[in-house]
This record gives sequence, structure tokens and C-alpha cells, in this order.
Amino acid sequence: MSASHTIHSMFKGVAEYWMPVLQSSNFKKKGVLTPEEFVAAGDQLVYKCRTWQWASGKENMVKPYLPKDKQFLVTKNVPSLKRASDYALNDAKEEIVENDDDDGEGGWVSTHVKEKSDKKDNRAKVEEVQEIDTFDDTGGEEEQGAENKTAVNGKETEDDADEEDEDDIPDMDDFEEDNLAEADPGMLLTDNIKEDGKDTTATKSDNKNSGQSSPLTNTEGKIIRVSEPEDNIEKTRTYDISITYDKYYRTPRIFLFGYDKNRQPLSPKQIMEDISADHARKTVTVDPHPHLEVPHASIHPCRHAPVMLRICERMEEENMRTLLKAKVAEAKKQGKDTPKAESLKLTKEEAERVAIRIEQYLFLFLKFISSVIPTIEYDYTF
Amino acid sequence: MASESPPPSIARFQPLASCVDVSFWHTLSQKKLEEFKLSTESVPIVGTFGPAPPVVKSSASVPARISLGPNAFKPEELLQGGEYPFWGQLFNANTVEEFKAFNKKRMIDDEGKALWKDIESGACTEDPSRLNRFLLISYANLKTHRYYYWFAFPALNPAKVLTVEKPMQPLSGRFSPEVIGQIFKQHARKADSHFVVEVPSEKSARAREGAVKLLDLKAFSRMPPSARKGPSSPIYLFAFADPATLKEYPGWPLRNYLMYLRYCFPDLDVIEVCIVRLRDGPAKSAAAAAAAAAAAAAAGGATNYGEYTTTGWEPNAKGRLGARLVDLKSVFDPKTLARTSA
Repeated sequence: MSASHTIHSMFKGVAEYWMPVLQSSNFKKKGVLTPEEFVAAGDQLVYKCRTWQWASGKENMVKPYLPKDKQFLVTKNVPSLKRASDYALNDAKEEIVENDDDDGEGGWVSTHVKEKSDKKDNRAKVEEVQEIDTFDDTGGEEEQGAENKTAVNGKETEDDADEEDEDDIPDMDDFEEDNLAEADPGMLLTDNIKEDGKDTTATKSDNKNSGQSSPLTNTEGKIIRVSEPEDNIEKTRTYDISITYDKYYRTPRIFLFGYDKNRQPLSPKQIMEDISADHARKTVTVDPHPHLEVPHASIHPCRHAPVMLRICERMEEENMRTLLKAKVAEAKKQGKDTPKAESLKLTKEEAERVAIRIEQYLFLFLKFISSVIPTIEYDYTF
Repeated sequence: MASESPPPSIARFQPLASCVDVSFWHTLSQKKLEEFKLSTESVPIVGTFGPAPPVVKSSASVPARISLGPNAFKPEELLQGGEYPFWGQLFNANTVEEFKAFNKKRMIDDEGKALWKDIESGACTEDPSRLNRFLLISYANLKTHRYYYWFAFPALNPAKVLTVEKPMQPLSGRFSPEVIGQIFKQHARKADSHFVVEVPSEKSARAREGAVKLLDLKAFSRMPPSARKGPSSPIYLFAFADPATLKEYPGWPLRNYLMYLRYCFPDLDVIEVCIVRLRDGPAKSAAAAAAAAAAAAAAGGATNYGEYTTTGWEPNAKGRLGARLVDLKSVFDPKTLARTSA
């Protein structure tokens, strides 16, 4: 953790304590939320997407300005199938959209950094890519390893626990107990569960030939390997994502916690692989989760409000444009070639329809977050 | 594929996968220091499962997960909407030797006996979620931030093998979309883990109105068998919320459920089950309808525990029966943390 970040976190902690809770809605002017608006927007998210849920967090960390049972939003086990490098092309496109702004200054990625140190940035990118490449290699190996597991036993645990102290890595093979294994015909064998002491490949090909066509021959406790469905279970990285309310910046804030395919937590470095290169080193920090204590990766919310404001404005503009187009088309139908300005005036109802409602805030927020973390597959709702 | 296999075939169930939040280990460490100290008494905990994430691509799917979060130590606390409980016992050892020395066979056997007692005494009829249970043995090394653990999801395994009369089929092949919609709508309101679906038979006048009712098992068990079996009586399906993610196979919780049904309703030859799967995603109703499936199983059940064995220790990442290890040094150790995030 860099010193400046630490100092800022401390300052923020103190300031947060003294700062009044935002009372009146400033969402249209500044893109910020009151706690009540955060709850309203969260309720809508939970209602629309059942995988998102309200959580209460630890008891001693309850924030008084939010309802006790609605402290933060959480969704768990979100699969992440690819690494950020696979999305490089998409990123480039999104970046243009992000920076397409009047003053050219207010982008989420601070644009002047990019312009001034373009070369440096490129180099950093190359480094990033190389890093990811090497990871992908080992990942591939591991996956291969998983397929012909008979060959590489014990290698996997070593790979996973390759932190500093190599001296006392426990050998998990010692924790296996063969006497527990008994015939369980009810257990569907998935790819990573195999019968002890049997040649997996043989069982597998056996099954491919016989399939389930003669299942009753296997009644005496012999287990057939079902070939079709288990291949569908792809073990991937998963993320627990939570959205908290940041009282200091008055915006939602994203916290991430990742696990690899064997359910080992990802190191901050590994998490960076899932975050688009432009943001990885700049806006993502590791901070203790405000409701869970455990350190999580987080996207720093200092620019959230202006970005959200712009997304909302753009969204409204877009809505307005479609509505006006429809109106003009209607007017033309009625035979007026150049519709008068008054006829294009919005009625109150129409204006309401065009305007972004507070309930939509978190959906737009997630949309924005998905450009920062392109690898996590949760933006399926909006 | 299951649809091609000729009946009857052996009933198979997708195993559950444990899924522990780091915040659970964090809470365990604190409790170990402040509350449990050297006690190895079992501690009640609760795991949950909720709606599965949407299918992101058709070739990939996730395991059926039971999650343990920071609130796992507060079983009395109300569950968040849309989550279903798995009741567990935690045995936390003081040393790695103690962890190894746990008599796993006896533990799961004891749990199976306790489950059977609950089935016999009617406790499971009162609260069917008691059928969903697990054991967790653990050893938390607070110095190295390594956590050894092993889950068991006890399942009663009858001596006579369970067979499937009819493979699983989407409910949409049998009932109209309105009926299925009703089931999901009413279930969303009640959120029981196990229940009974009553669909009026086609002959009855109510059928046209699509009057679907969800009963709890208590109400159903009080009905006289004749009311369930009459020629114009409604169709009854036993239903449960299923964390499983495979299209062709039901999930692990169905095992105990079938044993329970076999014991409580011995007059049924074949038990027909409605599997309710909650999956999030676009076009919710259509996806939900496709996810609901009915399977019929002729349970080769028994009436006393002597005829059962209990299985369910979770295999490790290598697929063998063994404990797992999670290394949280990178998360909890302040020194490592400072180094990696600098």
C-alpha cells in the first residue's frame, strides 16, 4: 500500500466521522447519492436480479446511516472465464466512448496522463500483457494437469501455495483417508471426483462405449462415469462482489474478492489480471472491506460521481433523442413537414419517462464498472 | 444422455460443493480466540444456497454450491430473501493432529442417525429444512493463516439401490406455462425448501382457472391417503429447491428428501418430484420454466436406520476423499499484504 494511499485512507476515515450524512438529493447535479437513495436503488437491483442480495455484515461494523439489514449489496460466485487481456479490443473501444467528452478532462481515466506519457503507458501495457501471458501458460498447464490428473498428483497444491515459505507447505495427501471410500451409487461423478485407485482414463472410455445403456450391470456398487454432463462443469475463477455506500464520496463503491478454481483466494496481483489495464494500477486499491474487515480489492470511488453523472446525462440525452425522433415521425405522418417547436415540447409525463430515475442508478453503475472489470460476467441484467 | 437411457436406471445426484467465504474464516479465527478457546464442542452453523448465476455460456456451468458467509455462526438470524439453509455442525480442532484424528466415519454415521431420528419423530415434517445438513471439521492455524477443513453432506444411502422410473424432464412438457408460472410465483412468496405442489386434475372444473396450490409437508401429511388418490383428486408433486446446476441430474438434497418421503408416505409406489431451480437471468419466466423439472423415482427405501449407510464426505480438489487447505496468508498477514500491494 503506497504511503499516500494510506494517509488518504486515514484522512478519509477521520473526515467521514465528522462529515454530515448527505441529506438532500444531489443525484441530478453531482451524481452522488444519499443513503436513502442508495437503499432505494439497491432494493430495485435486488428485486430485478435475484443474485444480488442485501447483507448486514459484521455487527460491530454496522453503519448507522443505513438500515441494519441493508448495509451493503453482495453477489457471490460470479464466474470469470477469461482474463482481462482477452478483452483488450473491447477495452480500446470503450475507452474512446469514455473520453468523448466536451472538456476532455473529466474522463474516468484521467486523460492527461495518457496523452503526456503515452510511451510510458504503452510500455506498461506491454509489461501487463507479458505478465498475463505467463499466467495463461501456467493456467493452461494446470488445466491440462487436471485432465490427466493421474500424471501430476501433488503438483497442483504446490502451484497454489507458492507463497514465500516453501519450508512448511503441508502435504495434503497426508490428509486423505481411504477407509472412508465406499460405494455410493448415488453420487454422480463429476470431472474432478474420481474413484480411488482406478485408472480414470479406462473408466472414462468404458463409459463412452457403454454409456448408460446398461446401467443395471453396475448395481453392485460399481460406479459408472457419466460422460456427458460433467464435461460442462468448467472450473473457473469466481468473484464475490459487493457494493457498499461510501459516505465520504457519497457514491456506491465496489469491493471484489476472488477465488481461483480450487477455491483458493486470489492474491491482489492475480485480481489485477481481471481488471482492464488502464485501471489496474491506478484506481484499484486493496482496502479492508467496511463491513467485513477482510481486505478486498476495490475501485477507488474518487471519480465515481462525475462519471456517473455523465453516464446519466448521456442516457437521458439518448432517451430524449429517441423520443424526439418518434415525435417528429409522428408529426410527419400527420402531414406537417416541419413540425413546430411547440409540438415538440415534452409533456410532463414524457419528461418523467426520459429522466433517469434513482432506481436505475445501480444498474448504470454496474454498467460502468463492467468497463473497468470486463472479465466478470455479471452485466446480464440491464 | 439421460433421455436415451431405458428405464429404470440408477438414480444419481449432483454432489454439493462447499464454498467458504474468507470472512467466515476471519470470524472463525476471532471466535476461536475470544469464545471457543480450547473447546472442541460442536458449534451450530448455517450454510446457504441461493439462485444460481445465469448460464454465461452453454458449455460452462458451475458446481452446486453451499456457501458459508460471515453470518454462518448466527443460525437464528433470518436468512436473506431467496436463500435456503443448510444446517451444520462445526468441529474445530486445536491441533493438526487432533484434526487428523477425528473419526470421520463415526461422525457422519452419527449425523445420519440423528437425521433418521428427526425423520421418524416427525421433526422433519415440522421443519423440512432439517433434511439439509452438513458437518464441517476444521483446524485454524492462526499463526500461518492456513485453514484445514473438510465438509460432509450426509446422505442416507439405502441398501437397495434407488432407481429412476422416468428421467428428468422439463415441467413445461407436462403443465401449461400458467401452471408453472403459478408454482414459481407462489414459491417466491413462501420460499420453503421443501413443499408439495397441488395441481388440479384436468377433469376437475378448477383446472381451467389454473388453481395451483403449494402446501407445506405438514398439511400434506395430515391429509387422508384417500384424498390424495381419488380419481378426480388433484395431482400432487413433491417439490424442493435444488442447488444443482446440471440439466439431466437432480441435486444432492433430493437423496434425504426421497428417504424421508419413502418413510412418511409408504403408500406411494413411485415418488414424483418437482425440482425447483432458481436461476437468475434474462427472460426470467422462460428460463425458470425450463429449469423446473419433474423426475419420478421409485425409492428403494427402508423403515429403520439399520438398512442405511450414510455417505457424503466431500472429495478434495483432486477428487479424492481428503481434507482441503486454504492459505490466507496473502489476505490476513499484514506483512505480506504490505509487500504485495506496495
